[in-house]
Amino acid sequence: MRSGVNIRGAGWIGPREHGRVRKGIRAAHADGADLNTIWKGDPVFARHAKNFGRFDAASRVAYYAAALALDDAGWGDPPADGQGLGMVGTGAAGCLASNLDYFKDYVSCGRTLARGNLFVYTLPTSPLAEAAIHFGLEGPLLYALSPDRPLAAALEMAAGMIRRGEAAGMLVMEFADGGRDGARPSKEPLEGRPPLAVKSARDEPCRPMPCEALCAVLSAQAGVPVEQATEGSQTDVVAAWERAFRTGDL
Amino acid sequence: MKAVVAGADIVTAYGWGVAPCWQGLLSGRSAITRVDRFGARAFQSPNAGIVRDLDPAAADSLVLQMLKPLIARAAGGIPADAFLLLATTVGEVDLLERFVLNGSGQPEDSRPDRLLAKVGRLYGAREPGAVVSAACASSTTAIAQAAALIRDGARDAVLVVACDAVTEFVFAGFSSLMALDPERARPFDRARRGLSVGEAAGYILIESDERARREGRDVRGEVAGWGLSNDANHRTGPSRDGRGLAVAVRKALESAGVSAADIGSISAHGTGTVYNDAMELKAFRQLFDSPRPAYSIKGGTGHTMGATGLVEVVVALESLREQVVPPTVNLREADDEAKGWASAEAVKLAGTRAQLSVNAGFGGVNAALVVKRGPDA
Repeated sequence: MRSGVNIRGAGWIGPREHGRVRKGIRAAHADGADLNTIWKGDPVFARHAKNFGRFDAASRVAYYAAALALDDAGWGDPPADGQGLGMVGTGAAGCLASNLDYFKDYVSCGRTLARGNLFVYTLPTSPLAEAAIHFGLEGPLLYALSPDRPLAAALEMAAGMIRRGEAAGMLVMEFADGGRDGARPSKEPLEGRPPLAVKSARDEPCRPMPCEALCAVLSAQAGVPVEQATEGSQTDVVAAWERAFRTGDL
Repeated sequence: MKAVVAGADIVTAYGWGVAPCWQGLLSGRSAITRVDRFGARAFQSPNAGIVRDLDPAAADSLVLQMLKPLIARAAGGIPADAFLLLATTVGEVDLLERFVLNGSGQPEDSRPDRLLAKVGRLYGAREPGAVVSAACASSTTAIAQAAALIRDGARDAVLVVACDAVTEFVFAGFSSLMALDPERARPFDRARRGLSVGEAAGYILIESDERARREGRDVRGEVAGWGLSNDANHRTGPSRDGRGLAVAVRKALESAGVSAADIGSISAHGTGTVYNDAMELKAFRQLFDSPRPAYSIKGGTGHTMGATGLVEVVVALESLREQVVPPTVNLREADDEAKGWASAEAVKLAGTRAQLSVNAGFGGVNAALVVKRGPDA
């Protein structure tokens, strides 16, 4: 049974490219671009996020993916009805990379003083919250993970909220490990080692796309029915949705 | 279709079970004590709401040490087809600590989906279930989702399990934000200085009223309405005007089909920080024509993070059943804005059928529930 909720548009950011699904636009990241610099390329990122320099990797990716998705949905930046828009995030790893980053840094500093700016990212909702702050999204905000079907379940949850009138629209964002996680840990224990000998992920150069994200915008406006979301890799899902918008049939 | 509470149990710093927590709160005694699990001398406070007898060196994580006995105590009372929603902020993060400190295990051991699988096995869940996390509104949000699934007819039984533990990971973090009271949290107090971290675990079995009746359940109450919103203001601090929380409460009232006049009492988030408590009182003033008896349990249990919403709903149902609002533990002199709302004494209720329970969290999340008395109360 259809919920009457549709995918209005979607944006995604991958290892080498980013794109908008409904508009069928794909763009390579600029040469040498990484999470610090990609915003200098595509004009969709023209209104840069305040405090971007303090964002962790997931928050930067979330900002980019949300900007692409909202543009693809034709909702502008900031969207006109931000008060009615919420977010559901999903992804198997939660905020594992940020957790490691924070705790390794804390231990490397002698276990006496943690960095607040790293601690605030040790919640799976933190990247979503950063995007919500920038775009003024005041609806429900949560992370939800159904391990066997993460994207589909998150889409269903968001669709349910719209159908029940709890939100006018929802962004659904799935994160995936880009496979080049800058926080990949060493197996050597840190306890007892001289503090400065220990490198945390923040000591390493920012690597391109330590994680990827796909962000769908859901609403009751015209689009492809949310029931027809597909599983598979994000590449598969993006390709399937692009086809659906092109042909009008998913 | 109603979403009713067909079973519940908790463990807090007051001990195992609902009764010790309820009696502890009624007595006005705080269960926040000195942390002995890790060195806390470098931190803002030496105190937290600790569950006694948890062993940080045991094979099981701290949260699993709390959940295993709780689920075992249910003794078959949790149906295998109950859809599992696991609410937590950091779950088994002590496993990540062990990896970083000692090289034992893998950091992936601390992932939330791993804990979800472990919890499902504790009661023989037929499906994998889902993790729900929304900072310190995690279990409130999970309860809201559970009630939505029941009222939509998608499920007739949902088990909400919530947990978070006092770990060095979390304690050091809150200390770095200067968010801790050096002694014990004093929600709504004129001299409040911050929160106290706490730990807890619990479950609520929510069923359709029809199924609960069929199974002969002892129904404790109803999750009658819910509302979620976001301040979109700051990554740690709440919006100063309380508007976001007020939006969540209005949604909850509408969802419950009640008006503000029907709410007889309030279980506040009441962390004891200057800004959170002020924000809540502003929100309440926007919603209610006159003060309601309001309370926070966090001076007693500590702030149990992802578990706090579930523990507070369980206490709210006791409050409705006993028709008394517990004192706000550690409150000595109420802030001017809190006078008429929070009290250092227990307050008797008269025929109150509905209580509001609210929580807020980092990133600006707000969540509100309307809970109603059980049918036999």
